[in-house]
Amino acid sequence: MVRIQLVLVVGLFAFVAPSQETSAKATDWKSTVEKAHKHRRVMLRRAASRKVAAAGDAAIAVVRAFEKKNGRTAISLDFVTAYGRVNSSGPATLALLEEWTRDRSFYWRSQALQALANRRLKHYQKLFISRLTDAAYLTRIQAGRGLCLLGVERDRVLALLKDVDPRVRLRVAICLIEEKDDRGLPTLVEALRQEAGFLDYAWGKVGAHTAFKTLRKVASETMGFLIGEPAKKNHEAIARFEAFARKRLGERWVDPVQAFRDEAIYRGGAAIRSCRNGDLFVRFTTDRRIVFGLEARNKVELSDDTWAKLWNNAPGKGKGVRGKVICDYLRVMCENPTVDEKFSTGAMPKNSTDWLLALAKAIEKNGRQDLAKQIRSRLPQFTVR
Amino acid sequence: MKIALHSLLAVFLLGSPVDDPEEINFAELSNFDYEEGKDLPKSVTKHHEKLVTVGGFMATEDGTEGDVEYFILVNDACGCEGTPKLNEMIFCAMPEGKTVNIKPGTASVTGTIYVEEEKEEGVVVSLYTMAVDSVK
Repeated sequence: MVRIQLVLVVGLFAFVAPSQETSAKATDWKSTVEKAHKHRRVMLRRAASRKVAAAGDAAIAVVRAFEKKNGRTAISLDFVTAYGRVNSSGPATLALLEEWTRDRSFYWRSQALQALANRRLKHYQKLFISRLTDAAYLTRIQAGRGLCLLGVERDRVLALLKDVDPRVRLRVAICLIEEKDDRGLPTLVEALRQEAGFLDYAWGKVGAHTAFKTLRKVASETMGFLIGEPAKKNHEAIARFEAFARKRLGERWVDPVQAFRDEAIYRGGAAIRSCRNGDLFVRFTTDRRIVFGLEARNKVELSDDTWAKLWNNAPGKGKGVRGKVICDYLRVMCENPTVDEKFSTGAMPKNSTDWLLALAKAIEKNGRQDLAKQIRSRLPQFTVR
Repeated sequence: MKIALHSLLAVFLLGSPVDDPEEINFAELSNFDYEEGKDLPKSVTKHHEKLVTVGGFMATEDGTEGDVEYFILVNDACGCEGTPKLNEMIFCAMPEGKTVNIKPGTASVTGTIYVEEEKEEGVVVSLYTMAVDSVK
């Protein structure tokens, strides 16, 4: 009997001892935060980020010290994203997330908003509402998700299903479905028909695949949808998904924004991708038309003369990446002459800046000062300093 | 380490007659919810050790610029909408002694793909690795 008790005591001691050792290792937040940002393997950086995020307030002082030492731009996307995947909601954690969200110069403010959205805290309702009209589509998505997950302001959330950016419509529709609100279904069904892209950015096909994955879960079947195949080939499968959605919604079915169909042949364009200030997509056809937005909502046709003058200079010099791209970049592409250059903040050379300014001037001459301003206002961020 | 061995193997096999690469895409590779330790679906394991061509955007794991020996191929030029999931990334290694410049746009990468969980420090660091033959 004594022997059994002794074994139990030793066993208990052995059980407790490694636990203390593990705990002592886990509290070395400084090296974990460093690892989260500096390890050469992306998945190990992510694992460390998750560990720090899960620790919540216990690690916040170290995170702030890292930020102070290296600057806020040193905080990585993976690191902020990790806070969206855990539930740590101590006051220090929430304060930092809110600070990141409110910092308009911070690259990952929408990911910080996502972290707040995922926590479903009523306290942030006003913050979410204030971000519904943000220039950055990712921020609008997270503002909509925040309200959707709170189960409030449903009309405002549904209004995002008419957003100018198809990526917002899609993500908000998915959130509605995940929250058991079937009114997101029409948008998802329509997304299956989306095939458009912006030059080599296949946003339509990527969106169709994302929509399909959600619809497959809701309907518990694939309806015969073939991934990666054209909408024409998936016509019957899409019709089956639509019949399913219409049956489920009945009179609550509301026609979604129609999928964008585009037959134009583009010669090139310029894309600004920015988590801070929002995206800008401009492209031009072989027949002098300048088209704005993923869904070509604004078009300007230049005269022969203006068009010819524009091509006195090339928009870039060959192919390559200039500067270190953290998030925001400007890319110019052109078939003839062949140009495909990507510039980080402050890395765009004078020749490309001049070409984009000439484009803005040409658009302005056509009476679209508003569109010209969209280009001009974004250039200083990228122009070489 | 494993990817380096794969590269050596690819170099060794370069002299052998090979079939035309099969074109695969990220829609196919990412069409499942990955859970660590769970069997990968046949739709992706069927490509293991096969010669394939995949289109995507090039990036590096550590933000390195210029000529690189290793890179990641991802589905989207801007990963900001959510960092790419493990089944949305192919960890690529150039053949021994060769490097490639990170392209600003889409790249078409051909090589032998390996479909399996690879761990470092107990963490799954990749599902898809590729010993690259060519980048266009």
